[in-house]
Amino acid sequence: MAEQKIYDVAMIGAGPSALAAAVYTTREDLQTVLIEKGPVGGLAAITDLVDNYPGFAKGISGLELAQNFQEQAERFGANIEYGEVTSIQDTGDTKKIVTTEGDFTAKTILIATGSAYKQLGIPGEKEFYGRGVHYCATCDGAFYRDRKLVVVGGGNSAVQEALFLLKYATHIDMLVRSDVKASEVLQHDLDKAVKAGRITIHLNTTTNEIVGENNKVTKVRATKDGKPVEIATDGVFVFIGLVPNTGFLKNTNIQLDDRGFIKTDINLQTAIPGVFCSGDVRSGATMQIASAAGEGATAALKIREYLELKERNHITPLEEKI
Amino acid sequence: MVKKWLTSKGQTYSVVNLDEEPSDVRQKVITMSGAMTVPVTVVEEVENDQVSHTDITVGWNPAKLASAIA
Repeated sequence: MAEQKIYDVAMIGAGPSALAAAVYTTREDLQTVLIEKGPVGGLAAITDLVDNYPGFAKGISGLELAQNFQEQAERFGANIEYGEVTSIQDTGDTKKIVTTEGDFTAKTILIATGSAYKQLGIPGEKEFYGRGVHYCATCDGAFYRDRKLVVVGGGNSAVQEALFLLKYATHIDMLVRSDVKASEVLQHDLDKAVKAGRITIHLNTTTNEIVGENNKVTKVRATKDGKPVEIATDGVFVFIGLVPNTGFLKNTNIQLDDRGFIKTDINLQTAIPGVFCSGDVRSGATMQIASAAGEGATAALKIREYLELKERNHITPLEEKI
Repeated sequence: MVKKWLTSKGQTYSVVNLDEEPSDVRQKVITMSGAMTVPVTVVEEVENDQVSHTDITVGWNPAKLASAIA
């Protein structure tokens, strides 16, 4: 996959933000490559139902939306390559993108690596990962038909995924550290599931350990209202927030905020000229597919502007200090 | 993702949707892969109508898939 070709823009990630950006850059005839380490579409692709993306009155499955994004970007000539980016290097006029599958060279970079589901960091979590501990209901829910589950978390994602898992599970215990903080629509559906006896919500509950026997998860140890409790389960699904995918930026001058998200100026440009950022990985992102796609479009236009100015040797400094 | 990748490499494949399969098929996948997660890709090498080698890839891992079909 390694190439000597110099792309106008290399996009790191192929989620909604990069794919939206790619639609714009390819239509402008900018040579565009997207480098993705996981599924195209990112977290959106593993979301059961996307109900708040404009243009789909009845909602759309995350996978279908992701496939539409990809099809549209590829129709205009976007090139998607698979590999994990390990570092980026600013080599002056061009940037080098080092990946597990070879290197790429581009005049500009768009970082749109999004976020990953946060882990609990408790005993048993790593040991049973993929064998009783999961972070994707649509991927792994089918293994729990007629089983009992625990869902950890109380935000929109946790509630939405718990409701989806009811398709398979007989009962779900939701362990919520403080209080449920979900949208009214989700809260309404959750209340119905609770009344029907399908979901039990445990508020003020901290999950401490995932316990298993013979390679199978059997229970969760937690603290509820200050007292230790044990909840029997066949599996645990964790939805406690997101962490930015910025590990590959360790040795760069790109500035991160205190939570590890990438700082940009009003042009979505990072501290390195010619390196832009959009979507969930950007500091201040709203973690919505619609805004990620919108930022992708904005970044694409700013990249075009940057390339045009560069072509005319009129690079302007950052308009606003990060 | 895996399906698109296999198609792009000129491979033929059949798809088993665990959502639509009885529990013994799910159990078979768990036993084969040691995991309760998808996708699971089983690449079989066939010689004289006999499966001579089986390679199992859990999750989306194009590097491993590439070596499996090589």
